[in-house]
Amino acid sequence: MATTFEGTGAGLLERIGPLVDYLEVPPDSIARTVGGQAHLRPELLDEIASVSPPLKLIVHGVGLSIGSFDNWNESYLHLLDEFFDRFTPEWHSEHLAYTTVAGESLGTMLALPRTDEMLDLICERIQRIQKRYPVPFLIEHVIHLLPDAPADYTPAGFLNAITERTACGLILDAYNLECDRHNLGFNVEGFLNELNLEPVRELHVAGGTRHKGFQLDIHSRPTASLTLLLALDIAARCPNLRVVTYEFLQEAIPALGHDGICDELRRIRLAISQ
Amino acid sequence: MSGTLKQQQLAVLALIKRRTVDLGGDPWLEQLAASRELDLVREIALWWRRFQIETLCRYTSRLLKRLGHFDREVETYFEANATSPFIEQIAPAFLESLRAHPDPLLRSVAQFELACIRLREPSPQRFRIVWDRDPNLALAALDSFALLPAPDGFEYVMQVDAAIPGSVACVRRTRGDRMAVCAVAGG
Repeated sequence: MATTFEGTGAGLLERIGPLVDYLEVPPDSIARTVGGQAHLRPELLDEIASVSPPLKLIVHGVGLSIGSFDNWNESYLHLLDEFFDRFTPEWHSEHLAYTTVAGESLGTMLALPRTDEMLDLICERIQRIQKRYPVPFLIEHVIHLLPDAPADYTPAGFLNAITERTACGLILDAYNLECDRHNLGFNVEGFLNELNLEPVRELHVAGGTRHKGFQLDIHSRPTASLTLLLALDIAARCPNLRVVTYEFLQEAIPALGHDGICDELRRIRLAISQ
Repeated sequence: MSGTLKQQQLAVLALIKRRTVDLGGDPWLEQLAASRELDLVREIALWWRRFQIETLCRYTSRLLKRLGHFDREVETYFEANATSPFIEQIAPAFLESLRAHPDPLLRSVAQFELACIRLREPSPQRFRIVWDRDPNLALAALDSFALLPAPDGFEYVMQVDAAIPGSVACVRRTRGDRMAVCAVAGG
């Protein structure tokens, strides 16, 4: 069991620490810009280091933009370097997406076209990451906000091609799959049947909201029962799954409440232990 | 790099930011340009920008809302500028963009918040901000959602400087004539 730590919510870390085995840390969220360059906030690294007994750490990036045509976000890798200077996480991961184009932020995260051209680009970048950091690297599928671009691969086929070529791991996100099912009529069962589930090491659960009929991947709510049931189904199929992570945004902490977050962690742990 | 992926991503960026773009007859881009999903993505992107600016530029956001310009200013800024993926770089850039705003109070409030952000940098600069009304009263009114003070005929010259005790000092004067010193709470 794991959950998100983005450095906010005074006293939250000591409440959630005893309820999880791993802490998911997004470097982008615990950074501060100093002199035009983003750096990890040392006081938050100290807070992570002070958890007793120590929790295993996993790093989950948001801002690498691994699928940008021109380049990825080098600033994110500097943050990752700083994190590795202080800790050795069990693994690190990033979304299979792009958030910047020609260095300019899109303001959101978009799914990649599933083409041979993108496959070559992604695999080459994953291999560079694998050489740079001494722990496994995982990628996570994201929700599809825009209509799919013309593709050479199915969603599962694209992930299979990446994991086969690079031996990277996978994160499956039950809530993202729920969003795609609701928004696009995505065939989740067909996706799971086609996907090679052996590389799946981590499973995400979360809850969100609907807006104008769209289910959004804004992690602001407890996990819906249907999402949890899907997660349990996925967990039962993945032979190498190591952790289930409940994700929530720091902006949602006031609404969820510390008690609510702790209750949710207990509820998910109970569900996955049965 | 083939042109296809590059052209596709550049076009998506331009569409999200409502910029002029040649879709080159690409059927997918044309479908995208007319889709409700594109509107949703724009809305999500702007929601996040508004949220971030409200969080990091509290006084400026509150004043912009009172003026009825908040949503428009954020949208205009986001669409016209290459924004950083890092939230803490967005706020100062947004405040900087208001330096030449026609509303004098908004200019002063934005420069004050920008100065407070810059104070936290390793080599903080010194700032001189001129107000057309008492900054204490203006900031307190924004804090408490009270009525804003009107220009009072004086000029308030504020210095924001890490070397000053409390980091902020202010002098009230008529044009060309120093009259009084007022203390302003640091940001």
